[in-house]
Amino acid sequence: MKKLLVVLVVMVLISGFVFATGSKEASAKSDVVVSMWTGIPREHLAKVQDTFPGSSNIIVDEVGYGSLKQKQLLSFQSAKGTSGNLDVVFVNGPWMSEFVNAGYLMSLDELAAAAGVDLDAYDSALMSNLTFNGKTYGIPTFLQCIVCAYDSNYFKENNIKVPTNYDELLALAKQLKAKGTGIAMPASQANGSYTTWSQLLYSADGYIVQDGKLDLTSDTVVASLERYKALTDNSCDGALNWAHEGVIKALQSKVAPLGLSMSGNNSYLHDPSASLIADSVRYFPLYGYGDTAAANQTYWVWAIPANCSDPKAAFEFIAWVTSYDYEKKATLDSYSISGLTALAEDKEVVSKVPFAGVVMEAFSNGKPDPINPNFDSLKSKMNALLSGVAASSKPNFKALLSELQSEYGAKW
Amino acid sequence: MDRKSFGLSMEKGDLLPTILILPTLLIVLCFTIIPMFYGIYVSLHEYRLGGSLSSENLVGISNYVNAFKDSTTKKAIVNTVIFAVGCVAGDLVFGTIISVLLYRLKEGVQHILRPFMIMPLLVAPIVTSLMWTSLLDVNGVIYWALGKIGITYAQFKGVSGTSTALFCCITAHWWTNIPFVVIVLSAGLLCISEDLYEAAYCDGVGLMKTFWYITLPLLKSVYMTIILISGVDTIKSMDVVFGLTKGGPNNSSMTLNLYSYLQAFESGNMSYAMTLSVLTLILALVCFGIPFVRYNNRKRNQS
Repeated sequence: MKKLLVVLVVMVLISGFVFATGSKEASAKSDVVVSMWTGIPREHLAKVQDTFPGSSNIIVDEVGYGSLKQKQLLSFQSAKGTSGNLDVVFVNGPWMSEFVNAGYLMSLDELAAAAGVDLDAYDSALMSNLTFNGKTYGIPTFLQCIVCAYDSNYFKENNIKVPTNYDELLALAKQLKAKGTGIAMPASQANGSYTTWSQLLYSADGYIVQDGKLDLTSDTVVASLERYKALTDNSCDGALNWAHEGVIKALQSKVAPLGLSMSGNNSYLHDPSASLIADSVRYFPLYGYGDTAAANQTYWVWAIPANCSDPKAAFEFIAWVTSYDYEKKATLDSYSISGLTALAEDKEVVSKVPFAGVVMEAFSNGKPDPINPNFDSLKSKMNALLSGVAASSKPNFKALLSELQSEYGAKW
Repeated sequence: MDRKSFGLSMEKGDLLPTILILPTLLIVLCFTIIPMFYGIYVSLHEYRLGGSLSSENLVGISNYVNAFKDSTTKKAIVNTVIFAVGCVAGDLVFGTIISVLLYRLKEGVQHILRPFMIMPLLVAPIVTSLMWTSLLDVNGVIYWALGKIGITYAQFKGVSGTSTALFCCITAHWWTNIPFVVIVLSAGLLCISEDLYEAAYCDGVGLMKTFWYITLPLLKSVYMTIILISGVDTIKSMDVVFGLTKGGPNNSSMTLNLYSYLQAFESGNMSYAMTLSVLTLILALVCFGIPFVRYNNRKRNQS
């Protein structure tokens, strides 16, 4: 009996030693803390995270979009090597200049060269947005813009021709409104309304900044507001309180046969468990002026904070998530559009993701939001103005824009 | 009875209560007074999220001056007052009707109904707003019911209309807050002597007169407490409005607290957000705090 006990104790000790050594080996891997928002890119990463071939453990610090910037900014200000540090940050495109100018991010050129990553493989227009003083600070991914999504079965049944320019789009919206539906669009006091309006403006080659000065009263800006109003007048009942999710819901449930959807959310339209139009949804560009469609270039960026203690390990992760294979899988799985130009021509991608071409075409004509410390504040006022225009019966476009111009013009 | 004067010299027996109250005072100091003064300090600077808070960024009262020039702030102040008054008024009216009706029911029925009445109080406000978003959807229950009485979306635009959005937020807030009022008023009703009602009944006084001359005056102190708690809570509330309308359309339902939140976390303008928070505090004090203190003083003087 005694011998048996001794054998058991020895076995327990040996197994304990083996377990301890094993866990030591596992913990010898360094941690790469990745800051992301809860959304489609994170959902895809969660599915494939275990297949990361690098030498680090990936820990995703996941927060809601509303808290992401605040969390990242607080982390940038913490000392190197402290517990609050982030190693990789998933940054919204327009935040990049603010982060780079404050010295919060590190240049990726040397890391990319050492890892053999070709930065020219990514969309050149976006890469130029991420280049400051000749140095590259991020790699773009998850490109989004507003596209027109429609139920092709409904179009067939009602002999509706797919619009090929703005006038036809408006005529169709009017026709649908007369039938009791209308066009589903994000017309609430939120970013969706600004993105929609700005795409109408960019399609006419307009911009809110001219020669470095804010110019909200130009004829192009006023005309784009009129076109926006015309669309909202023919939107679905209730659309004036819809953000992007509202549009997706209306399309999924066949409340509206046509809608202006943010391409990053289109995967929900293809989900057969949630969408009644999963098999019949098709896309065409949001023509903002004539037959031109131009995107408000919304994209996300992988970057490394300046206080990252192991940039090499951090870049190893970035190189993986921006690689052709990873991005292709992400595109096929979750319909996200990559910044890799070659992927837009991949036959499998083109056939599986029907809006890829529409997004890339709009991106090639598109523009990013202007860079200015007061832009966020202006955008929030613009959202209010747009929702007011949509709700009002006879708005004075020029007067409304002049009011905003006088408030922001001087401090721009 | 002589009132003890508050001075540095402590009389015998004052030490223990002072020691016992110290932890509470410390907590209030650390988590209320110091943050409040820090908020005021930040509001006197030009401080953006990610920036630095130093004497170089000191701008004095310019954030306050800008706030009174800002059309959105002006609109938000008006909306906040309408929202607070509308919410509290509805809470009191509907809360009183429900509590009096509940009080008049048989005890067994009361026991069954009370838990159901309290349920909305247990739901998180953001969940309430999501629930009301579905209810107020064009294809939701409310429009279905309105349709039955001939009211269409064109006639009542709900959360999408500039004149109706704030009313929808007030309605959703009533749903959340009325149970609290019912609980407090029910407790107040239980404290009113049955003899008074019996005497009124014997004298042939009608239900409305009984309510007006007995119930209402005896519930005055309870009402004042509800007005203070509910009023301040309503002025601070932003979750219902955020979830339902995000302040739109055209800022028609924008409240000060929501505007402060948006300035802080969408525009990153922390100092302006703090300025708006200080204005919210002043508004709460003016609308509900000072009247409550005055009422208490008057009662003390009367007694």
